[in-house]
Amino acid sequence: MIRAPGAPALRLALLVACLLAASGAGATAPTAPGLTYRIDARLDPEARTVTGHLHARWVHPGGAPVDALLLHLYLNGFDSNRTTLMTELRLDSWLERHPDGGGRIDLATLRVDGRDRLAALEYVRPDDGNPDDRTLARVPLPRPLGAREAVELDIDFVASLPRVLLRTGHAGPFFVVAQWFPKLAAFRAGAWRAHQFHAASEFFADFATWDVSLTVPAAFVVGHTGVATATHDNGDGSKTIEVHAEAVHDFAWVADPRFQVIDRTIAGVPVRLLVQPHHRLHAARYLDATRVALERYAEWIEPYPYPALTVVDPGPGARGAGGMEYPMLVTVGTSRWLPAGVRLPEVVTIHELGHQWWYGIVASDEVEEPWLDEGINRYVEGRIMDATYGPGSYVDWLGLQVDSTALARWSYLEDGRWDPVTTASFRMLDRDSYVATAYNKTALVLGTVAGLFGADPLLAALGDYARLWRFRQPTGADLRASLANSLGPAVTPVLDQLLDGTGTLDYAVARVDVRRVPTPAPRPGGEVPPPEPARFRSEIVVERRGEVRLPVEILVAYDDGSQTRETWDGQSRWYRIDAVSTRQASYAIVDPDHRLPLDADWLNNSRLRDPGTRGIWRLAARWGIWLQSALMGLSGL
Amino acid sequence: MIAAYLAGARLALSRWALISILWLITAAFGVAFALAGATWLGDALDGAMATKSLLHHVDVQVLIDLWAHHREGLRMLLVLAAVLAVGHTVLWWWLDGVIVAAVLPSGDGFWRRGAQLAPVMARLFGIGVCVWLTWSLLIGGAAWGLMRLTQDSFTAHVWEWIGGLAAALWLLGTAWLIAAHDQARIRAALSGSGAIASYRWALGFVGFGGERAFALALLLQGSGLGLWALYQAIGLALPLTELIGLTWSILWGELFLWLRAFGRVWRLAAQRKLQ
Repeated sequence: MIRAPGAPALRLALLVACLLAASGAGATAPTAPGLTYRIDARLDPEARTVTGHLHARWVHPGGAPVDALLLHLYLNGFDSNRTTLMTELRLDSWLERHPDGGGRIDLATLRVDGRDRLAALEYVRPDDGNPDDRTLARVPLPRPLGAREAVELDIDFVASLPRVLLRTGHAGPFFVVAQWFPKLAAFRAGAWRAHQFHAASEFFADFATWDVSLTVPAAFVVGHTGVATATHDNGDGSKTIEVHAEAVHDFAWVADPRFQVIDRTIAGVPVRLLVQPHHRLHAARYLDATRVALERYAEWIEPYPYPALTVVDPGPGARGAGGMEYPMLVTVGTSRWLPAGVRLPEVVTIHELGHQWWYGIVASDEVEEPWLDEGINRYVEGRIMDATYGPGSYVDWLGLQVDSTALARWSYLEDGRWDPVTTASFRMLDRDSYVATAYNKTALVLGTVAGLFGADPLLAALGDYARLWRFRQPTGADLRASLANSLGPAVTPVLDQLLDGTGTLDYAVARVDVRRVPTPAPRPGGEVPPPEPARFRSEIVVERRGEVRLPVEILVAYDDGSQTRETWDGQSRWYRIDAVSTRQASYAIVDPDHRLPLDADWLNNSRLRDPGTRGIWRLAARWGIWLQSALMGLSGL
Repeated sequence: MIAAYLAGARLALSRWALISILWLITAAFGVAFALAGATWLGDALDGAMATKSLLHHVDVQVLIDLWAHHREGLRMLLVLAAVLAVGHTVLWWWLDGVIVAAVLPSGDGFWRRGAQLAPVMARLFGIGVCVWLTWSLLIGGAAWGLMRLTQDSFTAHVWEWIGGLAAALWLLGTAWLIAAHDQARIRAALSGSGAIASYRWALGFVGFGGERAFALALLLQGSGLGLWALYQAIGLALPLTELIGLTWSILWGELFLWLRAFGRVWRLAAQRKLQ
């Protein structure tokens, strides 16, 4: 059912949800007293700016005194073609081609505990020293701040939104307003932990409590992090929406007068889908994928803890805003002509909703350890897709079937050899390596762990990890410790090999030979031995071609239809199976159940004693016919 | 137009032996490529289970591993395909002449007559390809320019509209150019005029609606498309590899290619009736 925005039923639902959240009766998200934000913001669609006032209060959580605050000013990444972001994106002329493309954030005032500190602000570039990058700023404090002491920050700012290129900005009347205000960096282990804005990295910040008022033209439909507590008609063609959010570490919002609003309660969660009119046909696909994700996560990991969820379909020309996660709000994406068998809207929705757990609730550092959110999320997304849509879960079209493992292997084999999984996002070779490694290699690593320790135990272990670290900021070491606790210490050397290096995992069947065992020659003058049935020596040699050593199963099939399985620890370079019997080996397969999906070459995992030719000829004949057909077309031109 | 359409079909049927030879010649190129493909696949698969499993199921994982670990061989296969395409094109300059000569009223000695026509057919092919490439570049360039112009547009589907319109125009223009090319081939054989003169005449003939030449060409090309759709529909409805086996699967594919050769002769036979 599609309803106009602000319909009474929706308001009532949100109010109830908000009251529940405030009373703690139905919400499981804790408050975060250490950091609070109060932001008043006004969107000017013509100027494409957001003018705002920010008031933040931060309590030093403990440790040595600090003498400065660190602020993310990530919109400045779009300020010129020489920023770190634009340099890494290799978009030297993009701003020339798009005069409305640039973005920046200007601070009009900056007061710390009431004292003007704007002049003291200095830009810092810890990652690359790029003098043209102003995405990270240091604000010296008037006096060192001791443990448990609070500091208050007041900033007037103007955020000029870029044309949508990457995650934030405007595209016609569509606005996705993210990384739009001066945001305090994360404070961990007695120090600020922050990085400049990079092309291949996302975000990291501390949990906070938020009260945000958003003023927009009355015709705009708005979606946001948090829950709307009130909406005022300002009588001047604008409206103001008051929003409250708790236990989230970022605040993003979207606005577009064209949005169609679809409200549903899915798996007990009030879900609002903001869909573009030309994608309305795909609303059911978005909603079904939302249901699948919420139900599976509730079953496998833990239920969605927040009182609302917004799913956003970006406007035309805003593809760069799609497929992105923010707390309680995700952006998705589709194309009107996409066939049902190409499950792009489903996978984007399930992936981005997965980030509500891996990034949102379990708030690991997306910049320094992207594998913790992207990799785990990619793995669970694959499990959900495969379990829901079966073989061909990602693509099932024109006879082509692609599932999660095939997609992950494709990416890993193309670009996943450069960096260890544990590399910081912006330290990786390039964006291709980032995607192949942080997303897909990690998913294959987890798939391999699932193969060795069991798929269900691994999901249960990830659930343990999520519950242990909910609303906290774990590191890779915390994940390893949690998995070792859940799966046993044997998982540690496996993870160490797969996560910390670039060595490959590749087992191969090198040889399948069968020789007849000779009958004993009669001794001179001796008795002729009695005749016995023919006996054969089947020799199977399995080889470890990569550096990674993991136990692996070997299947040997015999000509009488029988099979044997045995496990090799994978420590040596090769392993031989010698079997003498009346049967002959037909073929051997190493890792017959694909329990090691990280194996780099599945073709060499099997060997037939007498290779077939019919399969080869089927494919080759098809190629021949295709070529013939193409040549006929060419000559008929 | 309909009379020419039907008469062309009758004439083409009477030339079934020629059609079979044309099909065999093209099939030789297909077989050569299939042999090379099979050799490469045999090498790459190296006795793996896929040498058998591919018969029943083309697993995407096999394709991924072939691409990831054996792509150099795959590239060589593409080079071979390009070489075969060049050889096939050159051979068909002669065979085009043979087909045109075979559908002329005095259709005897068409193999020899085809050889005499080969040079003009080659020149016509060159002109035809140049004109077609120009047309493709024009349409492609216009579409690209419009997309650049509208890159700041936030209207839904604007690129789809531009792309769809460009594709439709390109297809229509290509069909028109094929009609002109066919008429030029027939003209060159009938009048003995040169390639440029024949092509110029054919452009005017098809362009000014001579004897409904373009309508007939569309009907013939549409028939070919219909044949292809029918073939695909039957092919999808029949699980060939399970029911009938590999040999019949290949023969089924070759039957379609025989029909394409038939369509080629039919096209020229029918269009000859207009001159």
